Amino acid sequence: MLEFGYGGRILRIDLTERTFQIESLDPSWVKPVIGGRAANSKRLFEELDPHCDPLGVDNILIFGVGPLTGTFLTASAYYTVTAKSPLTGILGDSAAGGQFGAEMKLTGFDQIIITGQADNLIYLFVSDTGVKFVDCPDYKGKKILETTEAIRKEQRDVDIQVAAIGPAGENCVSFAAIVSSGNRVNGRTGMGAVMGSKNLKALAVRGSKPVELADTLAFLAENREIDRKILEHPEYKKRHNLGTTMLMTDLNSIGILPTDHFQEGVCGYVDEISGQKLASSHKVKNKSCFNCNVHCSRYYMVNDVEAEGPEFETLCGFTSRIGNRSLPFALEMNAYLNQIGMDSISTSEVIGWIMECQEKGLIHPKDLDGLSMSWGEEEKIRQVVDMIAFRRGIGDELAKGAKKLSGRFSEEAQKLVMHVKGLDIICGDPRGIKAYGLTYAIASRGADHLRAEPYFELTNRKEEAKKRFGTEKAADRLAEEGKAALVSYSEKIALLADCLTMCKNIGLCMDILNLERVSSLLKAGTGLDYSPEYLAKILADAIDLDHAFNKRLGMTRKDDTLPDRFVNEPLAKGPTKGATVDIQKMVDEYYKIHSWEE
Amino acid sequence: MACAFFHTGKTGNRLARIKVANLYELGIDGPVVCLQCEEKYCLKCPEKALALGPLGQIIVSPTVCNLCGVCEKACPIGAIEIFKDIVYVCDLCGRKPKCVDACTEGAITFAGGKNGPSLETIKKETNKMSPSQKREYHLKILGEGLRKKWSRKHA
Repeated sequence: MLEFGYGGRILRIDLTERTFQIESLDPSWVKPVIGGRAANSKRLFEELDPHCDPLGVDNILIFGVGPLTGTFLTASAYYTVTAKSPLTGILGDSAAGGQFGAEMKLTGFDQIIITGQADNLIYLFVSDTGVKFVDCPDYKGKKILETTEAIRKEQRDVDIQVAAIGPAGENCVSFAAIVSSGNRVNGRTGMGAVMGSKNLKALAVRGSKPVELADTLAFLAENREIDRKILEHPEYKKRHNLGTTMLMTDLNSIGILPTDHFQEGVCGYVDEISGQKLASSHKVKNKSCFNCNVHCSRYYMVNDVEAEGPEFETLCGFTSRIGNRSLPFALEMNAYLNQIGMDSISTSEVIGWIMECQEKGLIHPKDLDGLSMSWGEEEKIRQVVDMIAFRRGIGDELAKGAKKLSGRFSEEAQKLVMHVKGLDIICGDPRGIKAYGLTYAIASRGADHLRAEPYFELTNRKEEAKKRFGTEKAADRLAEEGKAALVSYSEKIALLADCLTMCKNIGLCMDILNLERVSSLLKAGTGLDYSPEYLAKILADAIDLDHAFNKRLGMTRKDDTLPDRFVNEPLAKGPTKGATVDIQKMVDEYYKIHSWEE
Repeated sequence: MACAFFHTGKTGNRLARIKVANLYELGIDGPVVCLQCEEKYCLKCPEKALALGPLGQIIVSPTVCNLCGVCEKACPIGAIEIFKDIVYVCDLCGRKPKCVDACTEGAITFAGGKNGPSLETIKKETNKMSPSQKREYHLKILGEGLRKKWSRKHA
């Protein structure tokens, strides 16, 4: 019996039969995976037919929170959605903050496991006692905020939190997102498409089961220390003011801001599209996730558009990455993508890749139904985004994602897709941040930084690097040395944050979480014994499990690599001029640390 | 969060005496809490279970209260709510409200006076609403002013 921290129950929903079942969460099952992302992966590994069609009736969609989600722990707002990915065909998951995770926690369900396929468009309303299946054919085509408002109105409760899909999800665009709290996005790996394939428009939650801790005073003391560290952190003010958009000028200043689809790392017009410009010209208010004191999100207004965000990835993805120098246009795209529910990273990769290939003459407009695009062409980008989301014309092909789309073209064009394992790469050129390069290569959901977020590499803390990872080079962004050790450590802390759950921008980037601290938090929170050594072991096991999951789906050592550009093409100018990534060396070391076979 | 935790040792928005509502479509999030309104609508409790404390706070006697819900219905902004047989309303934490301490934006202040604003105009509009809907209504009105400022700045 799990009395503290955990809700202690799981909810299974069969959409085909429109039935549900409440089970208690077995302590011996959950303890070795803690909760959140690792628990979701374990569930998927145990229950999914690995060869099922990701958009078919057999895929399993799991919403998961952790034992400390929605507690007094600062920034304990996150929830993870997991399924087999329609974009990559391997493990898919994506986390988001906002208010949904904390409200889901109050229902007393640590996991909501959704199987089958509804015969009609429906939404689910989950409360402490179970599920209401609500037919909503008239919601078809509704955007995120419209859906959220409609459900709240229909259920007469403004405190309901909603995770919904937009038209992109309904149309099973491979990189469709799930969006909660209006603008909080589970963006990566196409979880919105899985929801759409199940005819599930939204999952609404409203709970009333308070969360109790085993040792409240000890937990409070630990969290006071965490708050002190956050508020005194040298980056606190900057993060509060700019959030992740601070990275626009930060990355540009070290020559790794993706520009014209990673052809360059320095953007000449960065000051027109920076986080600072956004804050001074368009931001009207700071926004926050549940129980956070950093408040790094922002609300903005520009022309007729208003929305929350954007995060760095969307800002860079719709400015320098695709050669657009108009900040208002990027802000318009952020608002639109969030409302139609489509991942900004994968969308910008499709666009940027076509632009580069057409510039180089590798793809002729006639091969794309007459579509031609050049850098920063606003009207064309608007049209293409709509064609993808509504699968109109060539948009139907583009909706499969850049990697699959590239299969129709030459090898040279295929090589220019910036992806690993089918997932489009984020906005950070790995040639100047080697630990990130390794993270993209080994991440179990494909090219992704959040699996390890080795931000330490950028903090220039040489002495600390020597102490923690045996070499000062671990804090040298241009070195390969020590990066396998850094990533192997950092991926554990990232996983911990995803399991507790806590925001990684705070828990990891601000260096708040470590095994000792989490050991105390988990003991005080759950009453279960989690020593630092035990934590290190179970985190390693969970990372092994992800690896095994993908292996079962045909991934091998050679898939753990980077696009050719980063390995063989040195950057031509700027502070990262001349650099490439020796990815094999780092992956070899990483495999050795994990004792994984080739 | 701070309110629920320091009063009960647990967390959950139902246990909080200050409630946050998120009106995503307007970009407005905000807390709603007892304003010690001029009219003191909740004190019209038929059982006289509610009384005014020395700080201007509302004191509920759990022994006298029979959970009739008149106070919940009477409050124009949804600042009193009954959950699992307990009446939740701000008690001002003995003059040092935890919510004020917890807010790093300085968005909540404790004025200290016994008589807050009049809620007469809102009262007429929210009579038939649930506490959650009343909070939404109240916040929308506060938000309208804020949004006008934003639009002027970014027109």
